[in-house]
Amino acid sequence: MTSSTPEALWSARAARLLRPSAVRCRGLTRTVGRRRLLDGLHLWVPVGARLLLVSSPAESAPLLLRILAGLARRDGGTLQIAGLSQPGPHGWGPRVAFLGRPDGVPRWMTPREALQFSADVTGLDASERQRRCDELLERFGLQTLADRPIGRLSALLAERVGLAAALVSHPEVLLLDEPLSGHGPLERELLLQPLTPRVTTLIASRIPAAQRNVCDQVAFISDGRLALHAGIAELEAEGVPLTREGVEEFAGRRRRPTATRATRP
Amino acid sequence: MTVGIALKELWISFRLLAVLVLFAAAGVLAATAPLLPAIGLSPEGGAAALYARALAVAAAGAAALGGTAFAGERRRGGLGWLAARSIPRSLLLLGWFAALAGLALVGMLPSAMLTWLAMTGEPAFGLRGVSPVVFGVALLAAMADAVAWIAAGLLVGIFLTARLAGAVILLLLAAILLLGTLVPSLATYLPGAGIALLAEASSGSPGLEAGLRAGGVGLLITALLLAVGIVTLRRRDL
Repeated sequence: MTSSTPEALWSARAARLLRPSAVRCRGLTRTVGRRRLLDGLHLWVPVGARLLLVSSPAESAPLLLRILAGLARRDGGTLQIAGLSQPGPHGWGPRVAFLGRPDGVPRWMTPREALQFSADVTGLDASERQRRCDELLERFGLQTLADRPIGRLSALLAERVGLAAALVSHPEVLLLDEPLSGHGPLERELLLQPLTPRVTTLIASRIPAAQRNVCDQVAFISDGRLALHAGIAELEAEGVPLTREGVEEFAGRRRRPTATRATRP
Repeated sequence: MTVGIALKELWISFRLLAVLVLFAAAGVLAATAPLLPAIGLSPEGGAAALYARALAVAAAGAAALGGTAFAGERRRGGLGWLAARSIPRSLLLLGWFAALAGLALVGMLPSAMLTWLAMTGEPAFGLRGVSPVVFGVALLAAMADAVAWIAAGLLVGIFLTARLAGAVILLLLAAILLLGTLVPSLATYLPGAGIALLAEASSGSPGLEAGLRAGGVGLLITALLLAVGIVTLRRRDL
């Protein structure tokens, strides 16, 4: 079962008990230079989760997102995203959206062009394309600036264009590296609200507290291995500050999970 | 689609104009060859040799500009943005190659015509019996060399940062030209043989066979470099 499973089946109690995964990593390894940033990482993310990724060293979490997006290679381990085991256009590629830093959106494009291009290459139905672009332009407050080159917009609006372009194709899994970092927390929460409850979001952030109102789970990757995967509510109940140091210290207090499934918050 | 994006990126960064100007300037320079004796200069080999030397500079410049642009796009995240939208990495490289090679060919055609006109204006043109067919084949071989150098530039751009890519590409091409000069027997098999044949076009000496061989070598090297580039880009982080 994946997040594209029909709603009628999702509604069944038996289906909910199956707790399907959107992202499943087993034994993921990757060395960059002389640093082993991922060292046998096991991670299981249920469908609909909004997972905050924090890591020490800080490069591990963004690297994991890039591997999931197919932009970085892995040295070992297996991956399964949205029920599929292969990346690329014939695998999980069309179901995953990635927004990195820098976002890479051509600055000569207008917001409308960027969204229409993304819709076009990701195979969105032609009849749906225009409607979807208009919907996102309005949602992100870009409708009056839709035909101005992104390079002539403010940095904040350019960030919104990147996120809108990532959302245009109705992705099942959203991979975000420090999204909307120039925005305030309330704006960020509003703009990152999932459009459907079954979109799984993974956000890598060096300032975990900035994503507090967006995420409901946190995973801490320490020296390439999963040291903690818990609900944010659990951390708050324990009085753990949502900082990298706080999460790291809390992970040290708990026994490290070994390929366990995340508990629902 | 990727060709359009590459052309737009080159246009925005003024590199498109620079590439066209480099190739056009080669033809303009060759067109001055008949006038140079009037000011006491007599370029050896006439207009064709002058054109070939300027073409080598233009092709090297196009390769360096293309390599730095590609490296810059990789660094800026532009290639990653496209790859994240499930556009195959091979298409990214081929799109950029097609854009740069297309520009080079568009720039070379009018400059080659200027060169031919300049050649016909040289005093000894009629005596040498220069065939337009031979000139045309040598030109095609030079075009194959130019696109091979562009492919080499893109390959370097996959590995290096934009700052280093340009310098390394120019050094590499200079080394190839030097090698061809020092070891003439090897020159036939290096990307640059076609340009060297073009330099001899005024004397009428290069035959069709030599031109076709040089063109074939250029295209083969282009294909090999692109294949290596595709395999490499697939393994690189974007």
